[in-house]
Amino acid sequence: MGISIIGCGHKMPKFVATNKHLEEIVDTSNEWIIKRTGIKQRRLITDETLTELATQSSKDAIDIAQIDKQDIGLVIAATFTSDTSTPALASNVQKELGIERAIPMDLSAGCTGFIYALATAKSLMESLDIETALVIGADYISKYLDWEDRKTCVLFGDGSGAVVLKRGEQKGIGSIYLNGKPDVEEVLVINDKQATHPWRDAKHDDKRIHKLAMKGAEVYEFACGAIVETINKLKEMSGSQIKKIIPHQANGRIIRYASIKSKIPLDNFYINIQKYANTSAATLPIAIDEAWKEGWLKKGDQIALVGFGAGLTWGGMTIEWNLPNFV
Amino acid sequence: MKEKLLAILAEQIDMNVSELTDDKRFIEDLDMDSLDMVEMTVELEQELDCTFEQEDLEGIKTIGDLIGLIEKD
Ligand SMILES: CC(C)(COP(=O)(O)OP(=O)(O)OC[C@H]1O[C@@H](n2cnc3c(N)ncnc32)[C@H](O)[C@@H]1OP(=O)(O)O)[C@@H](O)C(=O)NCCC(=O)NCCS
Repeated sequence: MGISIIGCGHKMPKFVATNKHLEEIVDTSNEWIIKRTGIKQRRLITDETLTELATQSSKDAIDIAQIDKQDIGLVIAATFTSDTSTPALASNVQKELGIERAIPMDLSAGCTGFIYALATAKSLMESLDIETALVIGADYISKYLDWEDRKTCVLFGDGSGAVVLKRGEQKGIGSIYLNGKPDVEEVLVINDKQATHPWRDAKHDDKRIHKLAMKGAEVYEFACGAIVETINKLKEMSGSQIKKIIPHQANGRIIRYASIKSKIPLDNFYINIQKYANTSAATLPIAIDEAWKEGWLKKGDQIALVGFGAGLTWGGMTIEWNLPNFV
Repeated sequence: MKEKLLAILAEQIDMNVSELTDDKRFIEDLDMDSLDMVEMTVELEQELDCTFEQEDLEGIKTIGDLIGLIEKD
């Protein structure tokens, strides 16, 4: 018995912001962004909602899975940018899909959120005897970006991806490695709103509150260590040679570093950061769906998903890809 | 220590140790950028079992500077 991905989908906002668009608003250049990150463009939410993107990506995953949506017993959305602070994005998607009964919840673990969500879904499916689950990775990070800060605004984009998990005969998800440590130096933080009641002195509130603040070099260093550690752990735990890796898409240079250190050729790392930039918890399910639909991911492939991000959090899992080749 | 450091650096940037003289500047002469510098520090921390503070690294421009920093620790 195992738990497998039986369907996947993704949905991006329609507006494409190229590096040229960013040159118009901050002091940057297409060349700088490509050389340091590999990013050429990103999608940004304009008139959509995150709920709409998450719902559409879920519908596509359900169609591929060929299941009745009422069979879904658990909906987990990895996100920290739900349209509504409450209900959760997962609840909003449950409503939009019309799933009458299921357990919906959001999970916030930065860019590692989707890995954490898959691991959580697997555990709950086993402990609560749930047959089918929907796991979403979706983020609307552009609403927290400081569009005057060239060091951060060029790096991110919005989007959503989703997978359907099902218990069955096939192995599917194999080894799981999750980890986290305190972000003592506050290298990647978004401060939230403070109360505005009359008894709280708001005079000293930072006016950049609500904006993503990042120490780039420190995050880069953390990410390089975390991605290599995760690949090594997964190799050790699974005892097998991992053939293909779908990594979190934060910076193409981090992926290149991982390829050199793990001695796995760069062609065996799936990369789509050039199109979408870093969509936080959404990068992995978007990449899974594209990798499969482009024919990069094939039935029987032993793959590893690897993530890292705010928290600080990192981790990954091995998966035997069971879906038939996409035609 | 110095030999090990030069060997690690030579491997990372794919050059001969003999070319890595003390006066070589990372960015101007060795064609590295700030992200290569971060990758180099990750390597050195692992291989030499030490830790660097970001502030200490900011003043490091040449191979000689880096050797000075490591020998100080
Ligand atoms: C963001 C990142 C690409 C910046 O690269 P870096 O080499 O560390 O850049 P630095 O911040 O040291 O800046 C180097 C120079 O480029 C400049 N710069 C920064 N962003 C720039 C931009 N978008 N365009 C042009 N110049 C830029 C800096 O101002 C600095 O100039 P200065 O030396 O004159 O002050 C890199 O740090 C990174 O990718 N970090 C990890 C980010 C990440 O993955 N976050 C999410 C994790 S889930």
